[in-house]
Amino acid sequence: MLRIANGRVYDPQNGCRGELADVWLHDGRVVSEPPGGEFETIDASGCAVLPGGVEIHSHVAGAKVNNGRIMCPEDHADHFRQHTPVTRAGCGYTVPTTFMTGYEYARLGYTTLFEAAVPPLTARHAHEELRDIPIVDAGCYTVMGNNYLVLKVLSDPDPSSRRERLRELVAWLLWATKGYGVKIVNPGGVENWKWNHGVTDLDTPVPPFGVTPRQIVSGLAQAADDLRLPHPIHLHMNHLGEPGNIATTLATIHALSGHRTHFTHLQFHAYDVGERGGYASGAPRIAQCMNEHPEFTCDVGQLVFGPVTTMTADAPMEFRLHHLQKNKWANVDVEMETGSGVVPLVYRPSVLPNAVQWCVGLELMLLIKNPWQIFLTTDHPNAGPFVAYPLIIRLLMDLDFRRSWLEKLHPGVKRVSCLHELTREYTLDEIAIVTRAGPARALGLGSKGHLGIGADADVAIYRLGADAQSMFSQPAWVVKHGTVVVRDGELTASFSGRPLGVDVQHDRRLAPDLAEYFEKYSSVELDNYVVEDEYVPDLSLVACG
Amino acid sequence: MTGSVILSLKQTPEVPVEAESLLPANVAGKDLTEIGRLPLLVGKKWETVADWFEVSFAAAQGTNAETVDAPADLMIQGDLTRFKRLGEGMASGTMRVIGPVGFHAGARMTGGQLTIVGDAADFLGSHMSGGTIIVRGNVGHYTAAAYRGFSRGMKGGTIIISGSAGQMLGARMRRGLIYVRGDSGDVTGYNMKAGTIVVGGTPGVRVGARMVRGTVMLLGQSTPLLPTFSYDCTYQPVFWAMLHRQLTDWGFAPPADATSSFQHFSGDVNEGGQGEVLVRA
Amino acid sequence: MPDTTSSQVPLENVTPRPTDITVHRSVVCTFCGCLCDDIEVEVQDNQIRKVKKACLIGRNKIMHSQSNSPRPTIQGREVSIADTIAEAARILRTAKFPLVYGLSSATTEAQKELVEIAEILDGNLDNPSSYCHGPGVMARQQVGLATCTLGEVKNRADLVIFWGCNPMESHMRHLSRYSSQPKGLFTGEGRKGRKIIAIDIRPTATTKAADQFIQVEPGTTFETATVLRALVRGLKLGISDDNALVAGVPLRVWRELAEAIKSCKYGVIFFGLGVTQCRGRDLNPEQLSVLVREVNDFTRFYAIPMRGHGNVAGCNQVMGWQTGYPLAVNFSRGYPRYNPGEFSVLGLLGRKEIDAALIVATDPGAHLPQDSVRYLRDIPTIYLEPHNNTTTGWATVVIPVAPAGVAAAGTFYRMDNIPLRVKKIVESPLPSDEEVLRSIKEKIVHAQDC
Repeated sequence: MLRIANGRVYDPQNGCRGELADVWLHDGRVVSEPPGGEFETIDASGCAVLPGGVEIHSHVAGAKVNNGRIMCPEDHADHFRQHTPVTRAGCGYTVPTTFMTGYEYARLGYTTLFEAAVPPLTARHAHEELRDIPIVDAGCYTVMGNNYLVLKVLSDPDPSSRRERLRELVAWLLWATKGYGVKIVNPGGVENWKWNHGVTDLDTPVPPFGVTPRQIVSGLAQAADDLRLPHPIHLHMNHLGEPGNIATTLATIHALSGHRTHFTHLQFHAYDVGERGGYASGAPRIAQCMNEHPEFTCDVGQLVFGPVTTMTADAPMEFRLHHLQKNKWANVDVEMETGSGVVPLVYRPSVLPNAVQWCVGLELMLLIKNPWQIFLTTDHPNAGPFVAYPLIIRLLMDLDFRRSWLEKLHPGVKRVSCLHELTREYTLDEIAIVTRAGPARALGLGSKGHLGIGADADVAIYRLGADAQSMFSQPAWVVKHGTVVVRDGELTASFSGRPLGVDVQHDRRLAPDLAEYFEKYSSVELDNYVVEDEYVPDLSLVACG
Repeated sequence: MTGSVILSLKQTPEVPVEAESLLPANVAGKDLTEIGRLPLLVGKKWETVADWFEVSFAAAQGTNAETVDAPADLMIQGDLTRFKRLGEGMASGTMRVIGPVGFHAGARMTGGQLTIVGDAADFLGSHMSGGTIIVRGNVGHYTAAAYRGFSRGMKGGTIIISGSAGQMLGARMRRGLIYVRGDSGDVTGYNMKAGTIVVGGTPGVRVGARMVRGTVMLLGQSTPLLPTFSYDCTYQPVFWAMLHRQLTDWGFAPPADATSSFQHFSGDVNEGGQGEVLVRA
Repeated sequence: MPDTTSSQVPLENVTPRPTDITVHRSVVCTFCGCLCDDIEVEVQDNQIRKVKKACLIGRNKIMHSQSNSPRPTIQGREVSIADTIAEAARILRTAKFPLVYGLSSATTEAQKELVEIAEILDGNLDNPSSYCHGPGVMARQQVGLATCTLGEVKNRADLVIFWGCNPMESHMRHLSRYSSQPKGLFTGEGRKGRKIIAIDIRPTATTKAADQFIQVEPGTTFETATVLRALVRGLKLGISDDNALVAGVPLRVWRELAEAIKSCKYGVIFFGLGVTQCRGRDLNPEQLSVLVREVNDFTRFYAIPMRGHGNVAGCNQVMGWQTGYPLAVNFSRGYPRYNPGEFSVLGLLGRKEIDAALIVATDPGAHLPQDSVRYLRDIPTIYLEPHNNTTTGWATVVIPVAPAGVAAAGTFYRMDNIPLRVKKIVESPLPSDEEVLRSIKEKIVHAQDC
């Protein structure tokens, strides 16, 4: 048993805003103060006690991540850690090795994470890597927005059979891939890329089934609702990163009005058109829309200056990025499902579009009023590496610090962004929401993101100090499943976290016509497509409903 | 300078030794015992300089100092074939190695002068950005080249090689001068972004392949260029006269007159065609 | 006991036998990078009786997988497996600069153990790709690679180019399953709707099966790719005569090929060792990858390396996610470093730098140059292998293991990096690679702790 004593507890879910309180942990859970018995004590005087961090969107495991890792030895050469009696060796900055990923997340106080995009055909690979990310509990989202089985069902003209069949199919895909949620990436647009067709708007019919992105997102949103999935559709919209994409974003938001939806890396979708077709912030309009729709959540995808390795299932977008700086480009078209691309980039404050993107992220964080609707991410490693979270937290909490950063940006940014006018500063309570309580709630993880009785014994303890960046860079203690894993920023123990899955009810069989279609055109047998239980040992299933 | 530090190898190791600690800056101001304590990675085990070298001073005439001031002169002698990273990251002083050396000699150098009397293995001067490397011997592959995944190799400084060089000489270099008195291996100046490579002898195939900018000069026998290079003219480049004088001043008179004529080829057209290969007419 | 993960359908109307025949369907063949996963294997009395759908090589491999196991030996003397494990741990623990090498036909589960052993030893770690398809991986590190899965080839490709590879003989079902004959979603005509071109230095079974064979001079891949890049983009070449020869072939032919490439809807190049091991090595796939990249300004166009060993793609993947690098890794400083040539098997052996080797799931005696093999025979070499071969005869410690995909389950990655689960369909008295390696690892760690 472990007692975390004398800390100021920040547990927004349970209404704690820095009150002095003890937290008791036993058997991997938060418990009420016991009548007696043996226990150890962590003296958390002068510290903030928070639930372990919950990462809602990060690219850390699977085929495209490893493609980026393998492709970029220059990313790893100067960032490494030696093996120790408790930890494995590792390296990498924007694409760290799996072991290093787990250690670095733990060192920031994160204890749960979700891999953002996994194609069913390579799901086994993602799970192999997730098992090698120590400490954190981890799940992944299954990519469905360009999946042929999904598109085929969506082309069914009968609305009621379409809805029924799609619900069954989504349930099957989640089970077959051991996924946690429904991911949609550039719906229809990735398929269009394979046909070498042009732009994909919300109402562009996509070959070979002629369904539109609008039908894809609303169909899948309906299916997620019908299945009562703990996490709604996790949507990467069309036109990511393009000036003026705010039109598509607003249209998509309106199309999904009334459905629970998580819009991911919204920063990349909030651009207006500025002078000469350049970038301008569209954050105020997007924020207004989010403020009007409490059923929506989003994560920001905040830009971080410096090197990144962009990676996404959005293959056409990566091809465009490649042409920007002519850097190396990897692409993998995945049969009947999706595509993917990887391009390393450098974001610079002196480059106007990058400066605007940086401002847009912070504007969204500051203009969306309800912190339970927007979460801190960097779409790691697309907009920046997750290790930059402490810096971003300080930018949110410290107006003077933020203003000093604004001075470093391309001067033109003030004409197309309102960031310099915003004076809001996040409170610690709000930081606790956007980094753990909020994502946990959006993910439907009842035992995470809070410290109420029965919650998982995952706790991050930070020394309260003037500088939020230092505070969040080096937790005094991190506790995972009741065990101290980090002390003063150093790993003291390491073990495997649990895989997170979703408990969808269905009969585990693919509809015969879809099975026949699959067998005919896939390059693997249906039997070999389904991810075996061996890849998710000790799977923790979260209930629907 | 008050003298030199001299390291004499006592025995040849059976496994590779990483010796990036052997730098003029690291011996300056230290006595013999302190120098003897400098670390060497022998295989996977950390040992010391004293385990492998006799350490001594050669004081300058008329002095009897017990340390050598910065910028120091460091001399290392013996068969150093298994010693990697000699002079890596060197920023000042002079370092002379009498004997053959292993990988990465002078890599990431920013200043000073490294002289090797003997052959050098691969990655000599990789990623160097300043200073001078002189090799009186032959060098391996990837001289001044970029390491895997990086887009730029040598970024500045000078490399002079009295013998021949292996493949990928100056691959992806960004700036600087490389002079090879002898032959060079295949793909000299691969994907170079800028800088100058002069080859006195015969180059291997694919000179200047995928070069973006920069200059490769061939003083000796030529091999056919890739079809993505086009002949422009024959002329007497003014800068060659200057370069010729410079090389001669350094004691490496090139095997071609200062007034030689050159055929000018531009390419690689696949990369924009702004590079040049000059072949002595 | 057959593994419960494979589908088993007892056959009806079998003649009375001591036990029933179990038919395992959707079995994955582990021989080559195709990883055909539609194989049917009949097992009776824990013996493989029949193999269906596999190619000749795959069938032989599976049929004979249970026979010809080596004996556990130390310096030729037969001992128990426990003794070999103890001796292996002793040798590795005392080595100053050990090499862990192989991995290419082991499961990823076993590969992970090998990575950890190399890490614990602060040793070197490499796999056969450093001298096979490694140049393609290195090329990817410079310019990336635009590629697709084999199912995309089946469903979409209207132009297939076999460059420096001969799948008809090395990957026997490649053409029928993926690249030539199959009738896919948008390739309903099968072979008829696909244009197939082969580029090679000599006629092969594959060049004979192609619509067009372009016979090039040896060592000219780089020149060929260079000229194609310029022709695709319509750049001015230093030669203009259509009959001028590039790689021994008239420019006109390359011009036509460039047009075919630009005008296809979905083209795919499969490249083999003829590209990666040709003069210039990694620069060939690098130039080829840039060509492929540039063609994407016009149409969809990809390249897929024709990976050889069953799980050689997997060892690049596992090393990638665990060490950051796909091959040629060194842990002397306690963290991974990467440099092919410096830390790859041929360099380490060529310079006689290592003093002990742990070799798993590859046959160095058959694949490495003679000098390298001679040096390996001079140092303590530990060898895990399911079958007798040219290395089991001389390795210092030989540890027999159960064959992966037949008597041991685990994960293999196809040449296009699709992961598949290989199955355990018979019991073996021998431990798996994974089990032996875990024991060795534990013994090394235990000794370090004492």
